[in-house]
Amino acid sequence: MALRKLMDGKVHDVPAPKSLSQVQFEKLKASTQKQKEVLTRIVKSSNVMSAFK
Amino acid sequence: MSCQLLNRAVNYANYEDFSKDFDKFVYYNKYEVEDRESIKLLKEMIADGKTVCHLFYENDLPVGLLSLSFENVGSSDGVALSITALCVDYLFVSYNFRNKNFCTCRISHKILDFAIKTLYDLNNTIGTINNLILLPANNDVKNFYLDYGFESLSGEWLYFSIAK
Repeated sequence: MALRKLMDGKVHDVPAPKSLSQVQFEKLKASTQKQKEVLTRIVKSSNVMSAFK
Repeated sequence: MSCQLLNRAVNYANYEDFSKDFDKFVYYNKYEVEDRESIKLLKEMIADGKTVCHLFYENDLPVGLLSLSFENVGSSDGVALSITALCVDYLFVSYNFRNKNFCTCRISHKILDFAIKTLYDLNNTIGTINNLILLPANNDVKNFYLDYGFESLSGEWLYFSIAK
C-alpha cells in the first residue's frame, strides 16, 4: 500500500499493482546500471552503514 | 551538523512507546491540513501492524519519517505470478528540513538510502526480496525519485531493483 491523495480529495491506501504486463514484470528481475551504482555507493558508504543505529 | 541520522524505530519495544514519539513528531510539524488525513491513516496502519514506521532525528530534532511494508506485485499475463517487494507506504520530511542539505545530500535522499539499505539487508537475510516500490505523491516528487535511480513500473508506481 501507499498513502496517496486521490481524485476524490481523500487519502487512500493504494494497493501495489497486481496485474503487470509480462514486460513490466520482467523489469523487476534486473537492476539498471544506475541502480547498481546507487546500491554500491550505499553499501560502501561507511557513513550510511553507521548512520542508522 | 553530523552526518548521522538517528533511526529510532529499531529501539521501540512496544507500540505505546512509539506512539508517544509519533505524536511528538506530529506536534513538532503542526501538520498542514492536507497532510493530517495521511497521518491519521498512517497511525491506524501502524497500530494495526500493517506498516513499520521509522522516525529519524538529527540532534534530537525530528527530521523525517519512513513507513515500510511488504507488498505482493503481480503479473496477469499467462500464468499468474507475483513477487514480494518492500513498499514505501509513506515518506515525510519535516517542513523545517525540506530543501535543505544534510551533509552533502537532502534528508529525503538520506532516508531513501536507508530504505535501500533495509532492502539490501532483507535480501541478504531472507533472499528473494529485490525491489523497493513506491507511489510518488506528485510530479515534482516523482522527478526526484527518478533522479535518485527509480524507474517507472506501472501507472504512477516506481521501482528500484537490486536484483543482480
